[in-house]
This record gives sequence, structure tokens and C-alpha cells, in this order.
Amino acid sequence: MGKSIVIHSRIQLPGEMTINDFVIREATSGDIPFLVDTIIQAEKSGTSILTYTTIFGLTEGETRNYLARMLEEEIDGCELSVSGFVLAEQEGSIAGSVGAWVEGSEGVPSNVLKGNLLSYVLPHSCLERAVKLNSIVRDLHIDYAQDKIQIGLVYVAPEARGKGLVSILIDYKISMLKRLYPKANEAFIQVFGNNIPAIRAYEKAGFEVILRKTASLPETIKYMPDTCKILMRKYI
Amino acid sequence: MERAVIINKLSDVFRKVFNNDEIELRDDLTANHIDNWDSLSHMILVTEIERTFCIKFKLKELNKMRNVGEMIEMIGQKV
Repeated sequence: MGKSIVIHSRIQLPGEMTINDFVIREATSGDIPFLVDTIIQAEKSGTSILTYTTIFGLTEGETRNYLARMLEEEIDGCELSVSGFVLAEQEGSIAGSVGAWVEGSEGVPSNVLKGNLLSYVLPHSCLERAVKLNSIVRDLHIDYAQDKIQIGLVYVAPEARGKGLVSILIDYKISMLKRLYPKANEAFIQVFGNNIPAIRAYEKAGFEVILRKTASLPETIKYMPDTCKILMRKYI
Repeated sequence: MERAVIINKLSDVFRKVFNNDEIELRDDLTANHIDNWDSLSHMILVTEIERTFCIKFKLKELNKMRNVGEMIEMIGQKV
């Protein structure tokens, strides 16, 4: 069973003081439905475009089923690892989650581990389409820095926003990883340029923009939430 | 299948997937050595290898392969 911690976050509302208690804990396989939501919402980046549907030709329902199957494999060290997620609960409901890992910690790049899961779980019909669209995906690809913390997926439920939960979850996860990998002295996060609320939240969490990559192919906007990807870094 | 034959066929797969005719396979080659080796390219690579050699990897086998040398060895065990 994972460890948990209670963090008290005070917010001031007009005319009253409200105290919200978030229980922060590591994810388990029982949380997979929420983690699937996290992945879907994070991938959409505030738009209706889901790269799993545009690149692989899957419906959102099919994407949910395949993501659940990939998470059930419990492969550590990539963005589709249950063990990489921490969750925030409030009054028994999950309010948000963050997934992160240290790049290369399993002796294999996270892209290889994720690619293994994709090839193992997705039907071969997805491949034909993916081959044609590979150049689109590469157009906005940014490498993960070896031995550094990578914040992969972040999601906070709409009703829990504005309470600093992104910072709470990211700080908690970074502390966990830092204990396991003391030499990991930087954390990185990639975000689409259109997602201004997320960028602001990451800035509040101590990240700064260090790279903007703009798509070179005009058709990229049909398949991705935005034509710009941003890399942010925090020294830890 | 002889190792040299596996390497020849595997080289063709790598050159096709990464669209680079200059790729020369060696045992210690990893994803860190080839540009654009992202998760989608890796998915395509694995599927093309399975098609080319008429094999199917288990997930555990895939995750064990740390470099091209281990990939060649795994293919050799399955063909």
C-alpha cells in the first residue's frame, strides 16, 4: 500500500475562510479509471483534439480501453506507469493527479518503454495510420533529458482548480523521486503552447520556459492540440 | 537464421523506419544514438521487426532489450 500525507491548503473566499483538506497519495491499480481521465485530459491540452484518436484512428472510448490495458501492465519508468502517479483526494473524491519519472531509471529510455506498450496493446490497424503520420509527431518532439525528473501528465478536476493543487502534487512527486534519485537535480515538463492556464500553474510551481518548438508542417494543427510545444525546467 | 542474415534484415527495417539509409547497426546501439527514436517510431520499429521475421514478442521480452545486440539475440531465439 502506498504512503499518504494530508496537506492543508487554505483559500480565502469573499466573506469567509474555507479550509480544504487534500489527501495526497501514490496511485494504485484501483485508480486506473481516473488515471485514464488524467491522460486523456492532459493530452487534449484544453482542446477537443486527442492525439490517440488523430494519430491512431481510435475513438475516445477505444483509447480509454487501450490506455487502461497499458496501465494494467504496470511497467515502471514511463508516462504510462501507474507507479509514477500521485493523486489528491478531497472528501473521498479524486481531485487531481500528476505522473512523473526519472528518465532512464529503468535502464531503458521511457520512449522505448511506452513504444513497447503501444506495439503490444494497440491493434496493427493503428500502425498503418501511425506510419503515415509519424512525421507529424516528430515535428513537435522534444527529447527527455537523461537522469532528470520528467513531469509527464498533470490533471486537476475543474472543481478543484485555483487551490494550488498543481504545485502541491508536483512538489510531492518531486520529493518522492528526489529521495530515490538524489542526483536528479532538475525537473522538466512539456506543455502545448495554447495551454496558458497550465503554463501559469507550472510557473507558480517554480518552472520556467527554456524552449519553444514550433511545428514546421502546416498539417500539424489537424492532429495536435497546438503547433507550439514548450519545455519548462525547475532546478531542485 | 544466421546472425549476419538477421543483421542485414534488421538494418533494412531500421533504415526504413527512421528514413535514414546511413544507419549502421552495432551491438551497443540504443535509442539514444538515433535521432527521432520516439515512442511512436519505436512502436513502428517493433511491429516492422515482428512482420519481417514473422515473430511476436512478449512485453517482458521487449522491455528486456537494452540495445541492438540484445535485440538481435532475442530475434535469433525466436526465428
